[in-house]
Amino acid sequence: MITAQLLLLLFYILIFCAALAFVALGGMFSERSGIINIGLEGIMVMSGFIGLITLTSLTNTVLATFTLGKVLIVIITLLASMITGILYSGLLSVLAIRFNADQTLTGTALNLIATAVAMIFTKRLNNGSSDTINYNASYFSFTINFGSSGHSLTLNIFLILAIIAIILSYFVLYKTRFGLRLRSCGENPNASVSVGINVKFYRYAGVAISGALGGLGALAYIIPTQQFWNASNGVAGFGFLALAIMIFGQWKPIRISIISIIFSIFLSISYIYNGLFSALFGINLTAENGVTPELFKMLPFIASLILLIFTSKKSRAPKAEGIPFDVSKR
Amino acid sequence: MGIAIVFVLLMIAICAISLLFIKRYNDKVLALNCSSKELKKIEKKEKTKKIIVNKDNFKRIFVSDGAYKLYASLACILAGLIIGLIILICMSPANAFYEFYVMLSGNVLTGNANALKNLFAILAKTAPLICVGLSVIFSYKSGMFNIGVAGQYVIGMFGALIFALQFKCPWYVCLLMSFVFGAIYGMIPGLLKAKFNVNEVISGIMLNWISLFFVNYSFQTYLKGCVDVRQGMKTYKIASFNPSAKLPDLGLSSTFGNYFSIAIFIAILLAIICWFILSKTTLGFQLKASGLNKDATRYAGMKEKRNIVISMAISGALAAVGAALYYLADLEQWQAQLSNSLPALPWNGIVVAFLAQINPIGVIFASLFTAWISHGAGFMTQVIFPNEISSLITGIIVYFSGLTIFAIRIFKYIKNKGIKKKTEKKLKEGK
Repeated sequence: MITAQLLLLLFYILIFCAALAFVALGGMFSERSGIINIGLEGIMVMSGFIGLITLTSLTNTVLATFTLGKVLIVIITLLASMITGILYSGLLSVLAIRFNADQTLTGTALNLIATAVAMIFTKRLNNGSSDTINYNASYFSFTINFGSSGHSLTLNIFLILAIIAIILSYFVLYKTRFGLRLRSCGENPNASVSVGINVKFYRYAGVAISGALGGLGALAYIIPTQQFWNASNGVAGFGFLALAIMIFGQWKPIRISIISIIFSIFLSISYIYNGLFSALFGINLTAENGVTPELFKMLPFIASLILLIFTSKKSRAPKAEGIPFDVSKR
Repeated sequence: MGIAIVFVLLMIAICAISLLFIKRYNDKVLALNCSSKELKKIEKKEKTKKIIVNKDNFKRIFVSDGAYKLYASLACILAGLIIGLIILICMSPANAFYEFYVMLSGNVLTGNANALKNLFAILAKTAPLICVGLSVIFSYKSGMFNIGVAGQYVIGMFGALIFALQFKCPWYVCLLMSFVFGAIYGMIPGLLKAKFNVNEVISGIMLNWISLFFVNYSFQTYLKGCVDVRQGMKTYKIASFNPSAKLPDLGLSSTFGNYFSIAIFIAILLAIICWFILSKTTLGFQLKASGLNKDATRYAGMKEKRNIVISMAISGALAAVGAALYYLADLEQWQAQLSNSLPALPWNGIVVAFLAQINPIGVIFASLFTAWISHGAGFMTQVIFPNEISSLITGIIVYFSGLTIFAIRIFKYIKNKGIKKKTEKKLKEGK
């Protein structure tokens, strides 16, 4: 009983930490180039929506009948979601980089538009009756059985992709010319332009990477947890949580991945607290005892608020983030 | 149809009057930059101008800065509506235009028997929108982006409903308590920003979710007396549970329908008070100054950290009052178990504030427009056209309002080009 519950906890932790790491890394790339991406939540909703539509439409085709086809479905879904993320984040980067608009405002607009679009088209697909999409999550996961004990742990490909993404983003940010220039655009764009770096290109690139990673994060959050997606719930503040994680991670990939593991523990407890507590301590937590799921759902947000208080004083935020770059003001 | 024409005329009149005011105000600002001698000269000129109705003077209204802002807002609305229409056409080309007309008319102008009822239903939703819009404006003026408006709204609803349903207080007590609750909750991001340098956007978002879960938790456990367990943890209807907490309708609800209450008047009053505080008082000046340049305000001897906390507290209180005006009017019950996401209305506060170009009086009209189309969208054929079209349009409007500065620059460029052409023509004719 206890082993099963702990394995379930591990299952959720691995899902959430992969998803959080994707989105937080995305936010990091964007902010390191100097653009605040509040619209990550919207990017997640939009690209998750398109990814799920692709998945559901592909599951009814010939591809689902053989193994290689299933692999193809997974790849196409991931690509669709990533491309949507890139295109949708392009809406932010065009306004913020080309027209020097307020980045927070534009990001908020992206969030509003994404929820509306997802709602409109899911309702339209269901002929106005409901706002949920059902999908087949089995292609993305594989199960490990632990010998004779009968326990099993279901893993998904997002975990592998997340580990690759963490290593890659560390390598790209610190070991390549691209990363160095990207960081310089976020710290001091005037200095970068003086040595001939195209600041606008690196900012577009930073936001595009954040869009792609946001798209992956959306699928990593939505697909493994349930068999259906409710468009009105979106991704339940996940994009914002990832932004907070990015701040605790001090805009550094390795720290971000460690902190996303810590946060995913909080999140998973809020999902399965009932079974976990009755298995570990023999306590039944119900509304009569004064415990509802909301109490545990609050935890990650409260923890992040408290952590923010301690980390913000000596924050190492990119110095030029949020400030539109204007060559004439040099 | 008659109502439609009257309404359109009324809107045009309001626009013209507001333009006049904006122009006069800009002249005053201009006058402040001159010395006193020049000022007297200008005043004399103004007086003579007033006597002789000058054609040029009237023309100048349409090229003032305020007018450009109005044009920018209208352009945003137009862009939003056009994109909305295109999406409608994509969904079903046959009915798109008629359904678009239904949405824009808000079921008021179509000339059916319930026109007046629909109008007051819109006004009932306008009242909270005005308040949340003012909330965003108040913080934005002092350099803070209050994205925590949704959380303050939820907490305001919580404060109002506790005192209405648990303690059975009359409506003014509930309103006051929601004001206090919101002020305290709004103060948190302000304090964190001032003391610990926490980014107010991130802390605001965290507080949004905390407020939602906290309120739902409270109604399910220690405030169980406020919710109807049989109806899936919905809060009780105020009209039947504690009639004294319902906003007074001045005995007019029988003629104007259930939606009529004094909420809209309170909201307009708040807008005027906000305008007064921001443009006529020392506090308003200090807040605006710390929004424009923090270091300069500190250098000038103002307490910029105190200003941040005060503006966030007022901002939170305004958002909370908006919630109280909505829930105390008994239009909707809070669902303590099913509400997994934040309510959509406070997010529209950001829409409204930027549509109004951060002007407290403009918020009244911007809210009316937003409430209008979101009400109208509910009357479209839902099977083909879901009512979220309206929130898509408002989202697009916010997106384009980011381009305001750019748009104003374009307008001025066009105007200057026109003047250039005119002068060139005149020069040629002279030759």
